[in-house]
Amino acid sequence: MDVLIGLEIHVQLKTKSKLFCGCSTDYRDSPPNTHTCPTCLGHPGTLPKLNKRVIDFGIKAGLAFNCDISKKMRFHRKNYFYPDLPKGYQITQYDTPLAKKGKIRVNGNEVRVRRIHIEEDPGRLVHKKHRFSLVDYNRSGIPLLEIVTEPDISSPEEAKKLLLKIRETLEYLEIFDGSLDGSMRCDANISLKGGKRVEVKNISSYKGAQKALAYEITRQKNLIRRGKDVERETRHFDEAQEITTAMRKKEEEHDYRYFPEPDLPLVKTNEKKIKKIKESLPELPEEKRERFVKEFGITSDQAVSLTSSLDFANFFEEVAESVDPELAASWSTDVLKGELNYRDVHISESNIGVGEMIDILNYLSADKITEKGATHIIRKVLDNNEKPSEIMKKDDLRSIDEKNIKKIVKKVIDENQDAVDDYKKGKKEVVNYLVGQVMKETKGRAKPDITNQVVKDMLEENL
Amino acid sequence: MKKGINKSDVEKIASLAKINIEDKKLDKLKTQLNDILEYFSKLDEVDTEDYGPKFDISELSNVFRKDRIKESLTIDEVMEGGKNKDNYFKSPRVEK
Amino acid sequence: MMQAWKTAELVKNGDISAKENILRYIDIIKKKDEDFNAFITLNNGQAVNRAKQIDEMVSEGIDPGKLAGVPVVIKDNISTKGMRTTCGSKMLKDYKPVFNAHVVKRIIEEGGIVIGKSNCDEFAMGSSNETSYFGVVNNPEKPNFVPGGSSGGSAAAVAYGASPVALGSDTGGSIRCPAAFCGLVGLKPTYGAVSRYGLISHASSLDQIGPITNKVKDAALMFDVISGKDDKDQTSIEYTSNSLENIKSDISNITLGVAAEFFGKGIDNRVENKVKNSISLLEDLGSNIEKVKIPTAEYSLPAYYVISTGEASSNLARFDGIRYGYSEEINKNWKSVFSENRGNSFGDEVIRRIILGTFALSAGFYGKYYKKAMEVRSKLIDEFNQAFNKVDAIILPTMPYPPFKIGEKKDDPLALYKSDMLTVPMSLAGLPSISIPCDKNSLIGMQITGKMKEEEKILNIALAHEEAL
Repeated sequence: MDVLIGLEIHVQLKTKSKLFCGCSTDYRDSPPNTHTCPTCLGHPGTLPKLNKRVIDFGIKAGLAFNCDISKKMRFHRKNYFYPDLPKGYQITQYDTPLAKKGKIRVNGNEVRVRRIHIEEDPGRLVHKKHRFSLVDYNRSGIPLLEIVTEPDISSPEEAKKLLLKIRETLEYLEIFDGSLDGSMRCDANISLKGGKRVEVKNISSYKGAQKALAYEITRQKNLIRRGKDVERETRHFDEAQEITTAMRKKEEEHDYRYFPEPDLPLVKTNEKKIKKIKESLPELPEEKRERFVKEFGITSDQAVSLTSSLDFANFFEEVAESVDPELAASWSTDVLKGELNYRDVHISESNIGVGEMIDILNYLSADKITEKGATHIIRKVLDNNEKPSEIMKKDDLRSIDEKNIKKIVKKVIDENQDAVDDYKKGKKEVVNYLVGQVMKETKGRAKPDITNQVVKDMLEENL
Repeated sequence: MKKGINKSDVEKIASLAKINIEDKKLDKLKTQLNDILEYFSKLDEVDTEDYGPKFDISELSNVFRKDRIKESLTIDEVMEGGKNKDNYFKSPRVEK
Repeated sequence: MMQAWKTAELVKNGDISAKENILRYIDIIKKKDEDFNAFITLNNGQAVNRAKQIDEMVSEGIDPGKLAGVPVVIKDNISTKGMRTTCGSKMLKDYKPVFNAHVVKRIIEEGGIVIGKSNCDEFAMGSSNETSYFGVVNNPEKPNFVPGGSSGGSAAAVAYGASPVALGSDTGGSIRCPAAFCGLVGLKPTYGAVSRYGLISHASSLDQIGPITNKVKDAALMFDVISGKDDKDQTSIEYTSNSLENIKSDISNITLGVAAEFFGKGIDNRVENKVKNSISLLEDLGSNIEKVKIPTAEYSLPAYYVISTGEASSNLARFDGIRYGYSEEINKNWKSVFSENRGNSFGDEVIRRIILGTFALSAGFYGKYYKKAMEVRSKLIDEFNQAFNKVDAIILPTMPYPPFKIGEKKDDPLALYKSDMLTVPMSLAGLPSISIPCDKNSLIGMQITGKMKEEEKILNIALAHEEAL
């Protein structure tokens, strides 16, 4: 089934202040209309003041997606009326966007980026039970990057993956925070087998994108099966019901009357500046994953888990430089990550540092502690912020050597004669029970595999 | 003779510009607009082949502001000219 | 009347009291404004308090600034914090800004005193001050005749003695026209020389704020105070002006340009004669006269109106009544509410221009109108640049005729637009241009236009002429 999907994605950039004024962008937990000023309220006589950082962030994003960066760009006015649009026009970019002709790789497929441009977010309408609506302008003027792809996406699943990849890349560039509610929104275009194009608006989550597109494919297939035409239209995605609905046909045709924004001068850049920014870009997630696999000999699944955030990747890398990388990898992905998630804590905010992790893994490699012990220490460090060496001493986690294991096994066997009898009768699972008793006795300080062997040997001896 | 705009054209533009115009004023307005638009067509006489549009009178470029936070207005200042409901602006109904 | 620069000196030295001074002006306004309707809002209480503060500063040995104690009239499309700013419109009849325009901030910093907000054509759209919601302004020099527009109130106020200086705004001639019609000096600065922050926009690529004064030296003083780069307006340019200090009336090495395109057809004989006399006077004072050509000049008018109405239609879109401004009942759908709020509060001229501008930008017409006008603008600028290779300044009349009777041109909008034919070329080119009276009695003005950033040069020429009268 030939499915052609294109996305138009809006992301809010992580600047301190808004695109055209100094109001703080940290508006989400604030009461309405407390992050506003005459400029973002559209008061008469106010003028836009372009925030330099937005241009820098935009160029970074353009480079990360392999685009050509515009050497000369200007802003335009997009004129339309709406209660959430204070000036009666939105300042955006029309025929001189920030970046063009890029590509993003997803699933082995290359999705072309048609353009990336900068524009301002409007305010927010709130609808309650009244006969009127309510407007909050806190969001008015937040800087947005609009990323438009060609219809190269071939499935809803791929669309979701593309959005996740965009999120990951922009977070690595430290220009975007995907955890903020509504920070990424998109519209999708979808057509089947050369049929008419349907636009779907109001998608604001990754899962939502997949669901909206999957629903559309089904809806359109059904129409075709019943011999009906798929109409070219704009539909609204209902997140709660996971369906798309037709928008009222009476929507006026928009004539945006674009013209260049006379209140803002040209923005020019050159090869030298672009090169400088390119050199300052961090290694992007995919490159980093490939390098980890090559350099540290870990699996690509592990690499994916380790690079889920830049902080976590950096943590792992530093640890892997001082201990066996495979050990570092498996303990980071299998144990540490789980413990962090359980405590809902980000690696950068946690009590465990690179040094602590290295210490723990070194104790483990040197057989000074068992795996259970290592896990125990990790938990104690996270919860109580103690040093591994202190925990080792205090909780007496030093692993027991073979000589002592033999003593304890002998003791356990002497105390559990029925178990020995059962073993003689052929019940081999007795070994596990006896090992468990040794563990209890030693509080997990006996290495399981050695204990296992010793118990078997002694049982055999007794026969 | 050029076609000019008719009354329904004027109504369409008035709707685009969100301005109510009384029906009785529409005819007069239409006539005035046609006179003026005909006058605007004089521009067709100018040969501007060698000239691009002049969008930058002061020829400035790269004028920027640093990414710093400035104090926002107090809620009283914000709400002064509008209708306040729980510190939201009251807006006429928007169908959603 | 004492010039502003002199007043400031005397106040600074403690020779006169700012309070006494301002009370005199307040009294004049009280007696005379009824006949001329130059003011929409007065600021008496605060003005007197500020004057007292100035006097206190002087007694403590602190220099209040270049405008110490000088009353300044501010056109009502320039934002004054806490003080009504109406733009002559019902839409903003109760609107009070929460901030000061940059130019107002500068005036206050230099010890100037805002004495009131002056009447103007609605949203600065007009050449006769007959479209204001707050009534027509009468010309003090010729009652029952128009004072010119759109800064008619500012000009009338200075003309009848309400203050020595006023600020107006000029998009296509709105400072120079009323200056000419009221026998005053009016300066439209280089585009970008004065910050537009706080000026309620008419046409963003054309608007400039400038002084209307009795005498040239006061125009120089005001320009020095209000000009200069402002980071709140990213289209403002670097410009440090000391024109008052540097001003001189020696024009013996100046070459003045005269273009045939600005004389002859469409120009009243009286205007042509007076201006030609003035040119002779300038020649007698030692300048050379040379012919220049601006062939595209006759197309400036349609180009100007396409561009200014296009930009204005966008600039006035913010007036929907939700955050500020006139608003009727809102319990209907939003499209109706917006259309009613705007339709019931904008005057006919404003509505006409918004419709024109919306059309000029609309799909299918953008290329024919707005873009074409911008190309014509490019060509015009080129021609001016070529002329300025030969001459220092260009001399031409300000208005094609003397002041006309109130009501005479009201029913012919296109005819009224054509009264701007001599002022719009400089607006399109962003050039500084000053209008001064041709002689002491006629209400006919002469324009002196210079290269960008050459206000000093044109002020010198203006002063030479003024002193010779």
